[in-house]
Amino acid sequence: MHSLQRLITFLLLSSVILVVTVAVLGGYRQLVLNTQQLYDGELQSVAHSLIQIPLDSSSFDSQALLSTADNGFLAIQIWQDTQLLFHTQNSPTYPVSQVPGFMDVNFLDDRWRVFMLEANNRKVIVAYSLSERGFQTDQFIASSIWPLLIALPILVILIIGSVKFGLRPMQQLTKLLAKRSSHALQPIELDHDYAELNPVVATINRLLNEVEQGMSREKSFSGNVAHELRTPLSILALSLQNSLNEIPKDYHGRIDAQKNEVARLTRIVNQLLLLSQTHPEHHQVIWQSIPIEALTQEVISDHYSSFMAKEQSIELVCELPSDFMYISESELFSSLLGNVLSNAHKYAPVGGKVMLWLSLDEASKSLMLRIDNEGTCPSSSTLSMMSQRFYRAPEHHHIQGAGLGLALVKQIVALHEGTITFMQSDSLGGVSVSISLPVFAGLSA
Amino acid sequence: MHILLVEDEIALANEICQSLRQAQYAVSHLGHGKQAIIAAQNGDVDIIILDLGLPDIDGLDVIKKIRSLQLAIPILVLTARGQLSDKINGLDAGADDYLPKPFALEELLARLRVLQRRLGTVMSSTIEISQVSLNIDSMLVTVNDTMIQLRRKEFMVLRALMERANRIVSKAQLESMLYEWGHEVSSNAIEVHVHNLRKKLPEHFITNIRGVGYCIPKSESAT
Repeated sequence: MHSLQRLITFLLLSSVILVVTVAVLGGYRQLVLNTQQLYDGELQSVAHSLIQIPLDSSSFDSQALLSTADNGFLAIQIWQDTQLLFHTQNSPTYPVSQVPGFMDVNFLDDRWRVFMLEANNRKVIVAYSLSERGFQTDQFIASSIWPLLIALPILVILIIGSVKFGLRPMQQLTKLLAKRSSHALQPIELDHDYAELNPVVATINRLLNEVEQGMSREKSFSGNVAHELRTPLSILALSLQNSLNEIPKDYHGRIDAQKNEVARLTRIVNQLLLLSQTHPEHHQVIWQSIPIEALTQEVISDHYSSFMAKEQSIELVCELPSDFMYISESELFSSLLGNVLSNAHKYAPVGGKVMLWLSLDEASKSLMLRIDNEGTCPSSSTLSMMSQRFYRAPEHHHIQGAGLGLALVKQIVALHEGTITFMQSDSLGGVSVSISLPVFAGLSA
Repeated sequence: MHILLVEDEIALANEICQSLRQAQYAVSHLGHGKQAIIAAQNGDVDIIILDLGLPDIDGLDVIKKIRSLQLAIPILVLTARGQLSDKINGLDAGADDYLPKPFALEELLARLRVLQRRLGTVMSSTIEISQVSLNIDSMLVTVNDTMIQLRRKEFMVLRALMERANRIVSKAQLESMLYEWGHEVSSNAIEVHVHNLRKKLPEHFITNIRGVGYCIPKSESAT
């Protein structure tokens, strides 16, 4: 992933290094030029002073002149016509330059900057070692550039620090946003106001507010739907029941059919409501300890009349430790069991059998729930699609139901961070539903 | 048996009244919570069926008010809210039972019978299922009008199962019932009692649902 902080630091550093390098190079060139001019000026003034000295007079002290040029870097030749009047040891005995003015010449294994001045048939040739001049120039330039080189790493550290400091509000915002879950929708507050971030924060807060309102609307909407639909359904059911006593027996069949449809409608409404109430996005589970075996027995008991109506048998095999408690929400767990159970009941034939196993998987620390029903099993591709909302196996369209039950089951399993799998039951031939619900360490007894 | 129905939905109230009258109850209907509190104070009400969503005051406040007046009238709460928290709130406020809408008439009548039994005013203390008849007061059990002899604990088990006909009663529930009545229960005691009971009762009268409990099925026509 790209980091803004790294990008800004990189850009700033590259710009600074580029500018400093160009400036140092330019300065270096200028310095070299200036020192050359300075040295050339020196040579010129030495030549001018030598050309006026009367060499034949006694006042000329050749020894003093020699000692002046003793360091070996300055070479001097003084010619009168073609006669060499004076020369330093480091110069040859032939004129090193024939042309007045400056020139670069090689002699005696060195390269020299030479200046020749001619007046009254006298030639004064002064030369300075170019290698020595270069060495001195470099030393001079180096001493003026090194403070800049020391300043550069300090500048780098300062830039990195400043960028980090300057981007702090953004990082605070990032951290605040990263911590957000879909349940925490309160507005974001930064420690200080920043002109650049304020519009962002304001927009995020406005969106958070809208999401929160939307969620609470959705929640109250399901509550309202519950009330609006349940009351008329109650009236319908009771009214049909009452009318049974008032109309001739010949019409009872039609009333019974209507009663069945009302019951079906009621089931769908209840499932839809539960499906919306238990949506993982906005359901907050009220965790409690549940005696799983007793609750399972109760749920089976609640559904037993429908099993009896189809002459089906049911058996519970509980391999849980006695007094095993599971942390869940009893309403949720009952819905989960009830829906799986009523599906097993629906898909098992008349007189068929339904088996239910409860066990604890020590390895994965999970509560295992398995429900098998007698009957036929849909194809494996159908099994894998079974938990989709409203999905119904094509071979089972003759069975009453809206296909909401398994979607609800899947949602409740997700709330428990569990898994659900469908396969063919090896013992009963129908569908085998396996649900694995993790037991949260330290929560369960 | 006089039942006070507090429900603001007139159509629903009419249907409930009619159903209850057919079941031989005397029913009065009120649409407001405040009226209900006054009616409860005036006496002459045996059981209150209360809807939680009322136009004037919240149903939970009606329960609290009635309880604060030291009135021990059983209250059965009806609600369309149907969430666990509603149930807990209702029972905490002092309601005796809770029935979420929509409900089946049989369920309402069953709950009323439980409340009635608690009041000790059940008209008939005889429960009859197919050929078996059990009298709670006299502790007499007949099969095809022939009296059978039951031990005390066997009678308790049979009574518990017959009272909850069509529902499965778990072994643990039966144990706790016997224990509450002051008896020590060994681990296979219930199995032994049921085994003995079965020998004295018609075949298949008590169904064993393996892993769940026991049940006495009652055919729909016999209700």
